[in-house]
Formats: sequence, structure tokens, C-alpha cells
Amino acid sequence: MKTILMTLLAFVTTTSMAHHATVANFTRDIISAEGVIEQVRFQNPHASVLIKHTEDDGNEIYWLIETGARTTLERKGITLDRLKVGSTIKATGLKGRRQFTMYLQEIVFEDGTTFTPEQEAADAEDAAIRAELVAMADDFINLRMMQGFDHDMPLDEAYRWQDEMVEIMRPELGEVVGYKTGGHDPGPGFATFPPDGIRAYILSGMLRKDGDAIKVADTKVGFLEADFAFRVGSASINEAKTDLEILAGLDAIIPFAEVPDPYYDPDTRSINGTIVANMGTRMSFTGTPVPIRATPEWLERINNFTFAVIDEHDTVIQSGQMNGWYEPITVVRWIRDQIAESGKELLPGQLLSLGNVGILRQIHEGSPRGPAYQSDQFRLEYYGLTDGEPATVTINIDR
Amino acid sequence: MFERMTLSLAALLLSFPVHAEPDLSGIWMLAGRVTESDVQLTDAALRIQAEYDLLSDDPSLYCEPASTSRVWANPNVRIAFDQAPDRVEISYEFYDLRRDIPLGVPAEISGSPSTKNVAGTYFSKMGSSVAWYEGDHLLIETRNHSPGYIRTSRGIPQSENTVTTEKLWIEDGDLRLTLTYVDKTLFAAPFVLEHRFEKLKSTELPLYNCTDADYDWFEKLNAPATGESP
Repeated sequence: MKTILMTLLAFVTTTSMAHHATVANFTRDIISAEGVIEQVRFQNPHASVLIKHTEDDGNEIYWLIETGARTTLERKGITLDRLKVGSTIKATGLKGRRQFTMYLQEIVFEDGTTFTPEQEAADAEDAAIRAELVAMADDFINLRMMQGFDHDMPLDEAYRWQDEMVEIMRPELGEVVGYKTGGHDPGPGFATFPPDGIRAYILSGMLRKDGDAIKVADTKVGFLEADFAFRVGSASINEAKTDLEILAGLDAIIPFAEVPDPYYDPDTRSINGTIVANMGTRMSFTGTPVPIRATPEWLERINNFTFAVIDEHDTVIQSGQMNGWYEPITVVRWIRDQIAESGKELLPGQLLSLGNVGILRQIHEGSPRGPAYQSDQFRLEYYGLTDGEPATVTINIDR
Repeated sequence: MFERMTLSLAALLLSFPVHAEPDLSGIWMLAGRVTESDVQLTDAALRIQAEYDLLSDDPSLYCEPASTSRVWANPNVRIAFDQAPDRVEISYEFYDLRRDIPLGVPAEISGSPSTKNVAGTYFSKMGSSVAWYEGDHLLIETRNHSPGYIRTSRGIPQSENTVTTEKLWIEDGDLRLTLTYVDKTLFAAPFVLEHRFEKLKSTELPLYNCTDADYDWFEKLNAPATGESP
């Protein structure tokens, strides 16, 4: 009976090997062996499984299926609990230089299920991160300090976890209704934003009506932020090339102000943490949409409008102009391309908040970002977008 | 007058670079690969290497450190430092080793091994060491090694003539180590290994409990078997 299959492979990765001498102790040949588990040895320096293979003539051969050190496996969240003494398995791995040994790659159980240490490690790591996100979401929703997401990973992976975070928050905060971004203006920037910009989701439960009032206690470190947003009018925006084509995919300007609440532990906050925490997005206020058309004249308006924040006494708190701050259509393009990297497309009706236009006011006393806003109203007016009265959105503060 | 003296003192201080002993506290773990210089083995070293059999000669089979290099280069294990006014203790999770190194000068190196495991077994392959600070670096010189292997996978040897210098410092929050082997009987030029260690959040150094590292027990099981390896 041919129980041992040996296949020469041109390339077998050895990066998974935990113990560096392992590379020397095993060849790159892949072999398999079937047998009954006699011992499971979860120990240092090598965890291993001892199996007994009985040949047709009754001859018994013991195989030692080795894997990493117990310490390494434990730190990756891998256990050997599924390997039960007495069960029959087929093990596949790298052929050992020592006779009847191999370095484990995969075990197939009698019922066809498999055990792959690397997959176990990945699953365990994912489960640990998911649990971390559940805790972060619970902290955010209940106004407790979120711990930073202290994992080294590429940005696209952090955005994948942001998707998971949004799934976790969806029962509480509703469906995705749009995106927000930041970090595209010439200001000093934030150390917790990627250099090219950051984006987050806007969920339906975050939306507030024009003029709604908030209480200071509704946020932990929230602040008032004057923004600017578009509404997607057509899916054609996903294929648009020129600025006018992008503008044709938008159907309205949305007067937009928000109250983000980036309540992270300041000692642990990070770029990935900010992404995964959905930028601490808590409340978004929208005014009456301003219909737009895809014309050069509208491009001109969008790039050159001015704005001001005014309080309940009609006192101008701060004013500014879009020209020189960021180019709105460029930022729309960035959002579109950025979500495309995650396999997403913009959908008609979605809001696109392009980020702060340069006016922020703290709500809470003692903020390191600046003094608390004392007025009871934060009214944002946009000039030059409409022919008559300015477009506007208002946040009232109920003290 | 006093103001002028103060200014002179300040100018004097500013004219010299300010160094502080490196703070190596915390738990560290090897990050990335160890890089090494070209190894130029002498004929004597080549003979030792040719006779080396990884499957039987690797001291790791007996839970014994093959060399200082072997211990520093093991991945996925923790390392801790305790810097006292008169000594440095380096604790390695790997094989539960404790390396007690007095501060002093190379001429003061004792003949006794500096390294033992938590059970109290001393390991002469780790040699006898003395440490001192130079600016923001910790230097450790080690001599009196018993023969062992700097690289167990390739049988690169060390001898009783081997002198090692370990240079440790902090750079961008990481611990850096340059380990230099000098031994005219084995190397035509110094053999240099570079390491980087990342600081862990953990403060614990768990016991390793090296167990049954050899294969004698396994090979006995197949002792009646004959024939070629499959």
C-alpha cells in the first residue's frame, strides 16, 4: 500500500516556520502520512503529534509531525486541542531530514475537516481583533474612552476592519448613507490621519436635521465642525474622468456641519486606530440641498464660494473661502477612488462630506484643542452657491 | 562674575555631546531577520563545519544554548534587561537563561560562565562576560567560551579562543544589537551579526520549560524498522 505521497514542489514557503533551525531540519519536499494519533506534545522547543501508521503487512511506523514551539503557537492563538489521541488523520508537510519526521502544513481528519496551523493563527488573530472592535464600538456608543487600535497593518487592511466596525455599529447607528473624509486641506494636518487623507462612513443614525439641538453631554470630546458635502446623483460618477463628468454624477450640494467625537485614549491613538474607529463620527447635520448642474459655471462656484459661522446673535464667529483650501471635485474623486480600492462604488443618494472648511469650535471646557464655544448656535452659511439667500445649516446647543 | 561663570559652564556643556546610559528596560523580541557579514572561515573552521551533523551535534537537542548568537537569534521569545549600578542581568525566555554580567573592564573577565538557566545549570558555551557603558551604548565582551556553534543550521563554530563583543543601543524605540565574533583560529575576518528587537507591551517573561528536545525517544519507536527514509 502506498501510503506516503511525495511531491517535489518548485517552491514551498518556509516563512511560517517558527524555529529558525527548522529550515535546516526539513527539506522542501512535501509528503503525506496517514495514521492514528498516539501523542500530542504541546511543548517547547517543538510541539508535535506522534502518529502510528500500520502498513498492510502489519508493520508499524511512527511518524513525528512537528510544528512550532508551544510558546509561538500560543502567542498566535493556535492550540492542538482538535488533535485527539486515537483519531485517524492524514498529515501533510515538509519532509524531515530525520527519518519519519515532517513539518506540519495540514492535517485532514476522517470527516474531511482540516487543521492548518497558519489558518488557525489567522482565524485566532481575526477573532481577537473582532473582539477588540466590539469593545471599541461599545465604548464609543456609550461615551467611554476607546482604546487605540494598536496593530501594524497596511491601510487597506485597516479599512477592512473599519467595515467590520461599521457592521458592529449598524444595529445601533443604522445603514451607510455616505462617506466623510479629511486631510485634504493645506492646514497642519493630524498625526493620526494617513498623509493622503482619511475616510469614514456616515450612518443613518448619525444624521440630524438642520437646527436640531445637542447637549454638551451628548459627546465626550465632540466639537463643532463646519463642513461641505455633495449628494451623489448618478452611478456614472464611478466611471467619470473629467471634473465636469464627476460633477454630472452629483446632484446637490448639502450644507453640512458635524459633531465628531474622536474619544480615543490619547496614549494609544494611531492612524489605524482612527480609521478603524470610523474617525469618531457621531452626528452629522444637513441643511436644505442646493441643486447643481454640470457646467463650468458651477465648477467655478464650487471652487470659489465663501462661508461663515454665525451665532444666535448674528455675530460672525469666523469666515473663510474655499479657494485655496481644497478643490471639492478633487476630494470627491479621492473618495471615489479610495472606496473603489475596497471594492465599493458610490451610490445615488449617498452623502459625501469633504471635510472641515477650516472652522472648528470645541464644545467642552478644558479641551487641549482650544476654548469651549460659548454661544448657543453654530450656524454655517455658504455664500455664492445660491442666487438668493445663502445655503445654511445650523447646530443649536442646548445648555 | 557669577553670570559669566554660568555662561562659560553652559558653553562647556554644550560643546560636548550629551550621552546617557541606554535604558534597556522592558521586554524585547527579535524583529525581522538577523543579518550577517560574509563569514570567512579558516581551514580549521571548515574542518569543524564539515564534521558537523545538524541531526546529532546541535546542542539545542539537549536544551543547551549553542552560543550567544544562537540565543539572541531565536524568534518569538522574550528578552528582558535588569540594569543595576554594578551589573546587567539579561533574562532570555529561550531555555530560561539568566546571564549575570558584572560591570567592569575586559581584563576583569572571570573564568566562570556568566549564564545559567533557572534550574541553576551553567552553560560555558555562553562564555564569561563583562559589560560597560560607552555613551549611549552598552558593550559586553565575552571570552572563555567552550566550543559551540554560532550558527547551528550551518555549523559555524566558536572555540575557546573566540572573543565576542555585543554592542547594544536604542534607536527609534527599537533595541539594536551588533554582535561581533573575533577568533583568528576560525575566522579570517570578524564575523558580524546585526539584530533588531521590538519592545513588547507585556511585562512578563514566562518560563520556557524546554522539554524532550532530542529525538532519542522517537527513534527508539522505529528502531526495528529498516530501509531508506521515504
